[in-house]
Amino acid sequence: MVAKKISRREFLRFAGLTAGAAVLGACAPQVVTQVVKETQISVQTQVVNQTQVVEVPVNVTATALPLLVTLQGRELPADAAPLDKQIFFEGGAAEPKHLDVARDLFSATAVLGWGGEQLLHLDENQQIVPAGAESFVGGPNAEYWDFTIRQDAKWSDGEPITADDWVFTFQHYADPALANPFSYFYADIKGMSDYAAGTGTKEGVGVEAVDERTVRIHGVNPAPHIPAMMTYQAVVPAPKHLAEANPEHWADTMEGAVFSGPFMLTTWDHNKTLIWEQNPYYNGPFKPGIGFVKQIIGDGTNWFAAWQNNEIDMMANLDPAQLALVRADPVYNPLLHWWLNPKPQFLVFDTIKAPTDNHDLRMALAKSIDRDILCQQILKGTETPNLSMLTPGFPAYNPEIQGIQAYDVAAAQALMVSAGYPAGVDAATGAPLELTITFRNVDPYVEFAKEQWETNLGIAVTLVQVENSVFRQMRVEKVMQIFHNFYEYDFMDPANLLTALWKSDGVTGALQHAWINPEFDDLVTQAGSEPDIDKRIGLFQQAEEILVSDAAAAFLSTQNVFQVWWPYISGIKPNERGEVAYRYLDVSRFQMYINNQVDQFRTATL
Amino acid sequence: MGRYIFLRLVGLAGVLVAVSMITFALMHNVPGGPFDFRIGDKVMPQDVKDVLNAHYGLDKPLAQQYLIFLGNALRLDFGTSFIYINRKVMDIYAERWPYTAQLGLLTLIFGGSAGLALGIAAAIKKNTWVDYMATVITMFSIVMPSFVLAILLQFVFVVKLGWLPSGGWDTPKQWILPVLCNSILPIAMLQRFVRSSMVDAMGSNYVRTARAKGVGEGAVMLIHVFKNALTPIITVGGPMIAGLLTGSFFVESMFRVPGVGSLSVSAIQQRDYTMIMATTLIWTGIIGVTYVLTDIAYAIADPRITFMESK
Repeated sequence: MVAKKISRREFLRFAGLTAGAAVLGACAPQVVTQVVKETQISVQTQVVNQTQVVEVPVNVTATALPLLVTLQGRELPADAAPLDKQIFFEGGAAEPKHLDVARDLFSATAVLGWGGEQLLHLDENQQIVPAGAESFVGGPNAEYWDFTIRQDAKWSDGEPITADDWVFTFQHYADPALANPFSYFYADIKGMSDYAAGTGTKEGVGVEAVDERTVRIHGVNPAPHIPAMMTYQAVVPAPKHLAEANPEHWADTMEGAVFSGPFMLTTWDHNKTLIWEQNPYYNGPFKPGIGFVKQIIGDGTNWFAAWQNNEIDMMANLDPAQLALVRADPVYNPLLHWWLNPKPQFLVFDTIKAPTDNHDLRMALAKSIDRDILCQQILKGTETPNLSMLTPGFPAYNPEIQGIQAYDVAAAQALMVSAGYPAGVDAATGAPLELTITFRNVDPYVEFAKEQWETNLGIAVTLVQVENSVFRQMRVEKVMQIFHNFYEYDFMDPANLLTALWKSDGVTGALQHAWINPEFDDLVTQAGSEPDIDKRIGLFQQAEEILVSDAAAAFLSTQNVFQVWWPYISGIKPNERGEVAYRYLDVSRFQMYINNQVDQFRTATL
Repeated sequence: MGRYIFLRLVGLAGVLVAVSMITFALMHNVPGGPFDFRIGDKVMPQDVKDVLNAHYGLDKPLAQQYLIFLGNALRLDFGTSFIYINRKVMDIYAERWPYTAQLGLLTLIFGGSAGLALGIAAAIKKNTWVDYMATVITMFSIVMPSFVLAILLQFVFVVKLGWLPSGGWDTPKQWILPVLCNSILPIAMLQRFVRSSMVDAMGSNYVRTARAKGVGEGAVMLIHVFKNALTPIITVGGPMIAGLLTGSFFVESMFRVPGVGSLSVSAIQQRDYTMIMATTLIWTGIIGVTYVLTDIAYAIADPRITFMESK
């Protein structure tokens, strides 16, 4: 810009006028308007001296407008973009095989979170809050739970959502004719396993309609965790009025399907996009700010490039390389968000076969891995050290057991001696100890463990890479001496991470792990049916201490999910740890809205 | 020629049966099954797996399963996908193959033109900077894997310049990067074969004779050089076209082209038995038919080649 030279007289004249205008403006009564749209400030550039240029506001006009209100009646904040720009562009969706989440959730993952509404939700603090049910109450000793469905809850076709729908839904989950691969998830509900296996009847499923709006769910045993289970994103209803007549194919097409959640599918361009719009019949507590969701289908795509090019709004889970790039970039770095995800990572030992049936050897292995280096240097901060199965913030998490497997090379070497393998040599035979870790994909965890065990303990470690399906089969057959495993929680209850994963059959071990401990099994069984919350937590904590002390696995870390999104996404509430993050299992997706910065960034269209 | 083609097609049927048997046996003998991926990374209890096996007929003896498959395949019914449940494999192909074919056709037009042009230019301007530049382009195309090139193209044209979208297949703008990426190998192959064939032909006696007779250089190149150089180009062009019609896993995945390229890899990874069988046999069929067409094209390009039986 070229500065125009003005005289001292001209400057004084203008400064005087400006000061007078400012005084008059300041004396005017203050007008409070709720929303100011298109506040127009006319700016003139003036030269103060030869080097300084100032911009002086000389005219202000304001137009008061009512707040924007979504189709479902939610008032958006003052900085919200117009309703036609309340679009969320989401990348990485998988082409749904059908739209019936209740039947087979992994065939309809794109539907999860948008189209269906569970009985209960998790809020930003991972606390259970009402959703499809407006209230819930447990029976004596938590033997059953009554859920009262929200008044006037409706499907997207206007039909009421009733207790009968939920009774039908649980029968639908377990219908042996549909062979739902996820039916075992509901094994703690009375009659579900038998019906799914073809040995029971649908009438035997322990879900009943007490009245039109009350559904009662019976546990196999007292099941205090059933409300937590009802928050899982796949536990959404199936419409009896449509699905009963054609349970296998009612949701094969968009036209045939209806939805219980805040959104309904309005466009399904196969293998390309899905577009969701607000369900006009939704009257629940989680009315979204965004009006449309456009999911872009694709697998193996470079979504980070799509985000950088403003084609999608968010990268919900950055890998270490992307995180490093974001951190180093002055534009992207301020856009970074993160949250601690309960997803423990651990190296599992075959505790039934030698040599890893040796407790001291296992503990030596567990104590000789430096988790700080692993998480900070190898994994670039995408993990936090966590030396137990339960993670910080998870119910029954016990920080006091974190020291049991803590990194301590001297102690580990002493344990090697007591295990009969001083300096990595079998004291009985003189042969060097050799261990094998089986892994899939690229796995920095096992590479680091190999380096640590070789360096700290003198053990020869062989890494064997197998294809993913082969790995899964070997895991079921329990033929791996040591392998890397992880588990992302389904619902916030210790039964999900302890009982489901580690309770053994007493012969070969747990479902995935060759580890048997009768005391642990008894404790988690007791805890599973203990209605008193404090006692229950205590029992789970005792059980977890056994798991960690017995070194069933070397517990390593839990996930830090790093995300970036453009600054036009607002409204996600911070949790009690101050994390502002888009968590796919809670209600954050409904809190967000698009603010009026969107036009500065977005190039994509619906 | 009719008898020859008939015999080739009968042979192809035999090949298809053999391929189906080998694929079927291998597929069922590698660890893992089609239901493992339908529960994410969780582990399915054996009793649930038993129910699923019975539901999909996988509890029957293997020979019986194969015969059932063969009977249906003869009617071009490859059954229902284990992964894309509720959907017939052939319906999935019918839905997705047009995108692959479109990508293949565009690749053939662009890659074929570029490869031919570079090859002809390099041959005509042998040992000049044109030849050297064409060779550099070809070497680059040969050593550059398509998935690396895809990332490179996205970085330059999407992230840095912002000229093109990162993927999709709805507008011509979205076609540019995948076609460019897909063309790299055809360009390299055609350039090398066209150049060497033409250089060989240009040194032959009939070309020298034609020039001595005063035939114009353009006619010499087109009629005497290029036509006679076609045979090796057909040899490489046939399988290349077959490859383009069956799709590219990397290019289609990286650029979100909703074609069939990714089906085969995901089918193998997820043990989608019906999709594996269909993909293998369709590819075998396409490649077999392409070779028959290539043989016919030889005869058209070179009158010395006939399909008469030797006595």
